[in-house]
Amino acid sequence: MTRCRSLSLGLLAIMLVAASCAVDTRDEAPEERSAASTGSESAARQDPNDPRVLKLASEVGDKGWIVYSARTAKGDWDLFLMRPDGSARRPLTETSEYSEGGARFSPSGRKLLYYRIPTGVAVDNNEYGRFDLVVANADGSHPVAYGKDYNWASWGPNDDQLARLTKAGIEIVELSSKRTIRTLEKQGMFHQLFWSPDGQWFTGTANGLGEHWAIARMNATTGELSGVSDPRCFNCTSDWFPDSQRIIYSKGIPCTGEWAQLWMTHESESESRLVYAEPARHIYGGAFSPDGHYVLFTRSRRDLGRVDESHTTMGLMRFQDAPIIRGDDGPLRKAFPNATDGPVLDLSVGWEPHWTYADIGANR
Amino acid sequence: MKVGSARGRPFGVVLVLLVVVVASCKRTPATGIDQHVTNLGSIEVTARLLEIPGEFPSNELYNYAFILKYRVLVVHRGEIKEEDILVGQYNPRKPRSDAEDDFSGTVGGDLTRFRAGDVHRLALAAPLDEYWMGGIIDKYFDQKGVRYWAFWTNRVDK
Repeated sequence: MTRCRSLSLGLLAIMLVAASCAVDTRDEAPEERSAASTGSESAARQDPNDPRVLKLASEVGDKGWIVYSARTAKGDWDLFLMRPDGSARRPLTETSEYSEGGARFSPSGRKLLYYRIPTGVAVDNNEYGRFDLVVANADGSHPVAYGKDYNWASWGPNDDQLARLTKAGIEIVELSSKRTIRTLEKQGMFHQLFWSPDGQWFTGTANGLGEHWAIARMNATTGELSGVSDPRCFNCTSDWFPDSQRIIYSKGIPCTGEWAQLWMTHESESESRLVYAEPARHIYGGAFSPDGHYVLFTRSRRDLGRVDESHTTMGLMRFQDAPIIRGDDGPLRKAFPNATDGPVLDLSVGWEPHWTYADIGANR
Repeated sequence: MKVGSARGRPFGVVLVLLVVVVASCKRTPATGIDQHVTNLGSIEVTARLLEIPGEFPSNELYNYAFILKYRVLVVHRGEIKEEDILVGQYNPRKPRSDAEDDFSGTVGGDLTRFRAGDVHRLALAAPLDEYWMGGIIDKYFDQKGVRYWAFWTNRVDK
């Protein structure tokens, strides 16, 4: 009996070590990362010691689909689809001549916009929206290339309108006719433009609000613009909460020390507060589940920049658990004493995930 | 230790002086004029770079325009009313001849390095955001006024 228990304990220890090694290896090695991007293992396996993570995984598992970009074994970046617990992964685009990224589901979940970048050109978090816009069905079928005149395009309140950034301003375009319906002065907005789900607001990264670029909020009717992030630091990758009122964004150096963090705000910087931070990862690309209950983000070992050099992985958390600080007993936790330590669901390698509750995966 | 004979030394000094004189005679002062600076943009000035307000960040993460303050010495083309102007230089860590890329549009010149006090001949246009749609680092953000975009920047001998 004692011998049997010892054997079982030994086996369990070996399994735990093996499991933790698998996570580390996937996080470390590019070859493993490529394989993981097309794999079908459940994300719950990534943290077998934490029942809170298992519960989170089972909670979100059947809540629609996540699209994301990941590097393939060929070295380019393709789009993939997965369940929010990381299961049922499958490729959406399998192009060798292009990399694809920056994918966003339309409000109905029937369409998908993304950017394609010629293979060989670096995929860059700050530049991808300057390449060719493609609009496809949500399952990746029937892709239509719109070309380079749709910088930083964002869905509006319906599936037939996009906003884009041009040198002339922020233009609202009717997709079916490619007609520009309206132009607003961009007032310093220069990339990562996002139109609110109710169509009343824009947010984006803007110049002129401080020494560095910062997050702006613009009234889509009047054009009135205000800064909503700390003007003393670099801020970027803002997006809307589903309520079209609050904004999630990344706050960076020099305010946050070495690593960019995920923050949220409402109408001014004074209302801003931490959502998620880690001591050894940059956190970018915050995006909500359609009901606003969960937050997706990209974790990066190197600052973005070039995505292919940055070892990006994706994470998912409950918004009600915010603020979360993961894996830090030092200054970060002292600065945010009310922060919890999770749970956070690791979604393996990838970049710029986006979520729909539409049932787009059922047919394939 | 013997390094040279007393007889040879005056000859050597004369030779060195001669070389220096010839070299300096051959070098004509840089005026900054070329076909680019005289044609690009809508404004052309000779201006002194007053200061460099902080370090230029690396281009590893992003391309950017950095706002520099110039004192206008001569307006060659177009109209500028201010004595001091704020000019966006694209990725200023790079020599102007290497700065142009797929995102910048035409940017160039023979200037290899920005140094406070130097005089440049510049081809400019405004407002900056009609020519550059990207990040701007502006240490003068609390100062109102036009931000110019530098298409071309050539060195001028003072």
